[in-house]
Amino acid sequence: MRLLKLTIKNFRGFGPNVEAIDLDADLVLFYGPNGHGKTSLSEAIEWLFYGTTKRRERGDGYSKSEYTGSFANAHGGSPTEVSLLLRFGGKDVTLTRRLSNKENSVTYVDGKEADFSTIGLLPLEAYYPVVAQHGLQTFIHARPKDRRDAICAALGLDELTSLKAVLERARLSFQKTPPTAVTAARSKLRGFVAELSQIGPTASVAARWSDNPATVDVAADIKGLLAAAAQLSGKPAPDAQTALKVLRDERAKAGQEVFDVSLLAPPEPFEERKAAAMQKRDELFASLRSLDDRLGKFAGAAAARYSAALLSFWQQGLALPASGDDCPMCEAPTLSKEQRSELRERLANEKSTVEAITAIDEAASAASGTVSSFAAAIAGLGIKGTDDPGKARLLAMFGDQGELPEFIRHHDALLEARTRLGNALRMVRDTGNTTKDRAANHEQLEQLISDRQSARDELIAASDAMNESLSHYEEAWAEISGGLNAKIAANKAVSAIDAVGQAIQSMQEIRLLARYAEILDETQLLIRSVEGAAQTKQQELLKSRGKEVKEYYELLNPGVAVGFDEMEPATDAMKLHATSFGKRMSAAANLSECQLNCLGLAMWLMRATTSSSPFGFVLLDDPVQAMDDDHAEAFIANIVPHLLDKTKKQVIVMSHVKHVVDRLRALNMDRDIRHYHYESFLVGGPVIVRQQRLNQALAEIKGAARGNEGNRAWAVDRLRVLIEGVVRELYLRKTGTEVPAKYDTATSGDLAEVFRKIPGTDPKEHAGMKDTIKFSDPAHHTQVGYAVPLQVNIQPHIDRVSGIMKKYGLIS
Amino acid sequence: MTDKTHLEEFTKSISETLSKKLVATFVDCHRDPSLTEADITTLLKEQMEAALIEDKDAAT
Repeated sequence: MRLLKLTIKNFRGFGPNVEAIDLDADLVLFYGPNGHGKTSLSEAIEWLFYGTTKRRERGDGYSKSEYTGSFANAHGGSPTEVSLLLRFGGKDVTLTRRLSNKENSVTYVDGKEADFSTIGLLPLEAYYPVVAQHGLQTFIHARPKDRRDAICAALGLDELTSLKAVLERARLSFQKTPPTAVTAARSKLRGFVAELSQIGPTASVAARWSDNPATVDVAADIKGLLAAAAQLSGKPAPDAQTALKVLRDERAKAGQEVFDVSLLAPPEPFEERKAAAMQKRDELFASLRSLDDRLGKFAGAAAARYSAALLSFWQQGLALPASGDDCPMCEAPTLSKEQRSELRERLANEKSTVEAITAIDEAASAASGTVSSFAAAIAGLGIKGTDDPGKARLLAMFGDQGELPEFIRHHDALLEARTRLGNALRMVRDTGNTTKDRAANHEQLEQLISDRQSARDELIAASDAMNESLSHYEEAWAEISGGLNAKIAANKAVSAIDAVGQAIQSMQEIRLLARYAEILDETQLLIRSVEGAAQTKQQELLKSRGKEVKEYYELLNPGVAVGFDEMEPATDAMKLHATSFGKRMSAAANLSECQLNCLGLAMWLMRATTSSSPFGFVLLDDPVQAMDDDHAEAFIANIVPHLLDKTKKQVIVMSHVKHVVDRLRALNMDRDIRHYHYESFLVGGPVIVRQQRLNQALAEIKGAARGNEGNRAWAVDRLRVLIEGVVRELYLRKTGTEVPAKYDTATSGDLAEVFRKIPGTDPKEHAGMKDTIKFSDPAHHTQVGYAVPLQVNIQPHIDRVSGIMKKYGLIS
Repeated sequence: MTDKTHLEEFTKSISETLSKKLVATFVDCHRDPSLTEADITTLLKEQMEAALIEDKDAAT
């Protein structure tokens, strides 16, 4: 791969109108003061290939909001786009990345939307070709863990280290902020600790559950709880179900010693019992209605038969001679008292009457059965009630305040209602037992019907009263039962049984906490496994690639007795070993920052020069910023030639130190070089000017001198620039050093003075050069009366400079 | 943006169910540029919580 031409639009410091930058050279040099946009160019290439930058990745970690939208130029303009013409796989291809919104971008290959992988370009982290100044500094000032992460990234292991970091954070959050179910389970188990700690078999269970946070051991906890159940009940409790049963029995016994709640508590299932009683009551009422209906009909029929017989006798009587005094409608004269009795007896013995009486007797028997069933159902409600001593105990436990007096009132009312209902039932039963005999006796029949009606009315009233009392009692019981149970549960024996029983019923919570602990253990093991895998890989890779790192380091630190020796991976750290006159020591603690900077640079170069990397270039953004002069010189003299000659990389160096760029140019005059200066930084972006080679500049000046007034003015102006380049180049060649820094802002007089100091130049040349310098001096051009020279006036000066360049070998 | 073979090799060495799920989720998410590491952390924690509830449901 070779980078050919870069175009940056509206990206970072670059505005909309920046011209394409020609990169088609083995060595491309950029000089620019700080804040002129060098890093924007470097980041443009990073962003093009990777869709982000190292600076951005780091910034997002600090504050995503501050960095959002920072790829686009601050002054607007659209689109934000970086295009790079490059030679890849023997073909020229244009890669483009365009920002589609604030953050996301789209890639194009030769103008068509496509992923770069479609041309076989995989921009892996392991090959990162851009060595950014901030990347070096993070390694220099990093904690051992961060340093290790950087090295892992350099070795292509960052996905493993990232997995470990993410797992650690997720696990820590899972541990520090557990799910609600876990905190609820811990809280529930902690509620049993006070009681369980007092019971021998559960003392160790209580100790675990009182940990902060609570811990569980499912097998040991169950074993302890079952043993406690056996101890408290005095019965074997081999499993949870049995344990709960024996504990329930034991609790009832222990509770009765405090107060026998079974006397007052509506027994379960109370609603079913009530429903059964209501059904029996309805059956009873139905049977009573049936009996009374029969009885009523029988009474009506008997009266009708008797009246019919009397009417018959009366009609027969009309046939007799009337005395005249007797009323034919009066029975007395018709039948005597004895005759009427005989008549009734005959009627009673009639078959139909006997059958009716038998049917009434059967209905009475059936009704009697339903009376017994209803009475049994009432008894089956199961509320026994307490006596006066019992009430006294309740008052002693609760005091005579609150809900208790109201409860006792309803309790007594219920017992009275039950007694009344019992009496009513007895009355119904008694009338039922005599119904047959009394129905057969016409003299008692009317009273029988009246008695039965009274008994039935009382039964209905007593039943309704019982029902109402029962409702009031249930409400009053609900008011006091919680408090009563709490007082019973406060009893030591009862509370111990309750704690063990409830703990046994908390198996779901125990298992939940056990699973929670298992997940924490498993994820901890997973994290260790990831760490182990990363370390193993590091060791394997460091054996081979570590040699490359050391080679780069030694190129930067030739022949030193104190320096970097090797890297050794460790858990969550990367140990850096140095040697000092043969003695091993910690590099991080003993190497200078400059040496650590060299080490960081060596790491990044090792990565950028990976043999399988598709990138044919290395871009170094201010690589010597934290180095002293000697190390900077080693970089210039050793590293850059190594990259160019050994790794065959296209090298791009950016620096804010003019000397570094000039020195690189001077030492590589025989190479294909592009040399740029950032001359200024405007709102539209940096002004980047290519530093032409001397012979090319001379040719351009010659051409412009033959042109119109504007071209001639430009030729004179560039002649001044050419002279400075010639003087500097000649000074460097003759003295082997750069022109002293004090001449960086040279005036015309200064420039002539530098020329005079160049060994081998003669006075005639000094005078001629002084004349040409004055001719091309911009200060001279602003004088009143100055006119742009004609070509015939410019040409002698061009020839003079050209002659000097030729004489001293600057051009052939 | 790394040498993926290292993680893939590691994935093959895992046998526990939850660990497998966690690593598989990480692989899917880490190679999705729209997700940050904070997003992935949240997803992994949710998987741990799901493992807890699944087990609880199985027990009941």
